[in-house]
Amino acid sequence: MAAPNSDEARVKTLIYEGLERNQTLPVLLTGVKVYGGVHTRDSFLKTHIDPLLSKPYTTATLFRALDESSSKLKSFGIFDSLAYSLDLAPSVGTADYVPLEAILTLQESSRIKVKTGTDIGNGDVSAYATGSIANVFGGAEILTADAKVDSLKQSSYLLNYNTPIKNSSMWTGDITALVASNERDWASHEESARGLRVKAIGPGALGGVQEIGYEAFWRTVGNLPSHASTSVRAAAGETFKSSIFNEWLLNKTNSLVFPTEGYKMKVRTEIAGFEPNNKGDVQFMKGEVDSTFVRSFFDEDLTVSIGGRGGLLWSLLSNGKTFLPDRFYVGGPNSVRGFYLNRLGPSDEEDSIGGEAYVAAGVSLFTRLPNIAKESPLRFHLFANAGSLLGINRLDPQSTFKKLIKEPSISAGVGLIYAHPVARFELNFTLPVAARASEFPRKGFQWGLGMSFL
Amino acid sequence: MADIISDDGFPSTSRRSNKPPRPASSASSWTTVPPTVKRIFDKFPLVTYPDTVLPSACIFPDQSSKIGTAFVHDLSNVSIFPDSVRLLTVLRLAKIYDSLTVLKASPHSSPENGPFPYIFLSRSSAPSPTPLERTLAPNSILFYSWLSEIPNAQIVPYSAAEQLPILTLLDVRLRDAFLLTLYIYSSNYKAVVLPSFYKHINSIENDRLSGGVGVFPYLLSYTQYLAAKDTLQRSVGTTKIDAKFKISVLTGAEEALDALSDLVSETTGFLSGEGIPGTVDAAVYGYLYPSLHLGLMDETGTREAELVELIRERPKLVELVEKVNELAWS
Repeated sequence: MAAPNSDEARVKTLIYEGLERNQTLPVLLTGVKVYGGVHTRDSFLKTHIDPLLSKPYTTATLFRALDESSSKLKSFGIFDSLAYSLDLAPSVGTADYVPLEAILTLQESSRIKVKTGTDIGNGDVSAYATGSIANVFGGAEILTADAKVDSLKQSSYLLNYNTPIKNSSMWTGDITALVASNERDWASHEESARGLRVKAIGPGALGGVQEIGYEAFWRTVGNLPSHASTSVRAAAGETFKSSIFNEWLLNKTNSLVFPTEGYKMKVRTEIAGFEPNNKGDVQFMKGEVDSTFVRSFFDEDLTVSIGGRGGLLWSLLSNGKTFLPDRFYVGGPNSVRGFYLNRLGPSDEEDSIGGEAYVAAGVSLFTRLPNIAKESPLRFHLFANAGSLLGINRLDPQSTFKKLIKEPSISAGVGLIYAHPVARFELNFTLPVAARASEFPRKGFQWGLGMSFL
Repeated sequence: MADIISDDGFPSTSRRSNKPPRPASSASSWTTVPPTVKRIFDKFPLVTYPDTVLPSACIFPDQSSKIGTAFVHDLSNVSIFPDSVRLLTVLRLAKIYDSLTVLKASPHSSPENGPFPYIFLSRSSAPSPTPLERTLAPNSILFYSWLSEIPNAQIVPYSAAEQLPILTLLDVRLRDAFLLTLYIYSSNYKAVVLPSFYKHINSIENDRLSGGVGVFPYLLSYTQYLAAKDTLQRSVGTTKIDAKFKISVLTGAEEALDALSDLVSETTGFLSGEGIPGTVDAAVYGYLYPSLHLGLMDETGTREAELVELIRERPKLVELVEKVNELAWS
């Protein structure tokens, strides 16, 4: 077995030496031959290949250009494998340049994917089916259909079309048609939404990702249980939201599920009230900020995570009315621990009816567990969370903001986390320290699952 | 506070719960929280802020002096929703309109496909805190019994034996003619129903709308049209809406109006037979007053208004409507 390895190494060394010697050699790329990629449109490939041609290169800059082109094409996710190789061009070179021809070999990913399944949970059985067609029109477009129904009468049907804008690898257009209904147990109702969302996704400031879009949704707050409170009954009914939104996300963390270094920031703004000929019955301005800063010490034996969130919903209606589907809901294992899910803030009887302004913050310390391997995804967790969610006193908004800061609901606790590659699991023992009379704190064990925690 | 350390998805505090208590679990000794630990835990949260700031324009009747909330389609007596006119008229005649928060609301506000319009009593005013006993449907025994206990109510209590046949006439035959006139005759639908929905949304949610007709009122009125059509088809027993269908509905209404007219007391002018109107008079008013005043019979004569003509041909009923209007709405 030693001979082939040493031969391979020798060949590699010779290639590197050859490249090293010739990296300043002037070359000209005269053409690109494409093999494979039968479902990919010529015009799409030309957009990415043409800029490579008829430019003066050295060997080194050509390799870099091919590498960049390769990365861009890979980023569309429609190719399983993709490789450039070089050969001498058949034409006779000038004295100044060596003519080269690139060969692009493409192996397309499977275009059609279908997945069906059933999930069984606590007294709930759900079935889902997802299907997608990649490269629908040969330009890295993806059409996805998704359906999910469960025994608790929750359902969602989604049709999504995602396409590069002008064949660009930087900007993507995304259209989603959605029909969904979801239980909102914390406010005794079911929220149904049918509508359309159109957005463009591209590079944002400071290396972040920017989304700009429009959405129009017909929402129904209905299917109230008999114990629904008066304020939820009063809020039930149909509303039509027509809004534009903008979202900027900067994620410089080293993991989506359990980051140990880096920072993340998200800012989302939305303005509703854009019905044709009419501003619509839902009019508001909404802004939300979410940030996390994570730092590790002692070779990741200790990780400190500091998170903060805040949001403001300002009605543009003269009576200041805001609607249940638009309000903020805070509390639960993924935000302010030590409270029931979305049960911070104003309430009427058993219903937490959401708020119009909130702040939430959290500090978490993670340490490795003794006698457990360093690579183990299990960590000990110590945390403190604080948050306030209130309606806005429109006659004196400053008093609301003061109250948000001065009187936060607070909880603290300890627990274990398990950083699975798909999601993070937490099991914490929580203790609410301060709460409003209208809120629903909980003491004892609380488990959480998700990608985003405070 | 035995369930204070819990992880079952229910609020740990039972201070406001009206749900039935959960059965005590047969916890084994190792899951039992030691009393000392429990005492410490019972001290949390250590700080309780007394107040909160409520979202704008929220309805919290329990925090006011009102005895409950009436959820209705419309606050006006010139409405395309006769059931709401009926309930509001009863409340006004019983002199309890001002004791309630009266809300323009959606039928979605009625839990579990229950009645709409309806009254939801506040916890402190209800005979029992259970949600079912706090919900009063206008035609329910619970509602009439609640109404009969209101002091100084200027309305004759419901008597099932006498009034049930009249209510049946109203809620089938007159209702069908009302739906036919408003929803199936397209000239009326465009001239009366659509503007009504537009005005409804405009006045509920937004006073900033200026000009133009939104998509949303169209969608809402169309769903109402489908519901009306379905009700009519079920009632008449045919899916084909043609001239024969219309004649059948209008003949039924004519017979109902004749019967009602005959039942109006010659001396008092009310169906209750007494000097003050009864709940049944309010029910008749609920259909007839809107029919006469919604503008179904315009000057150009382009709208189809046989129902209005049928009512006007019966002066005793017109007189009853005017009298109830004066007592309840003037």
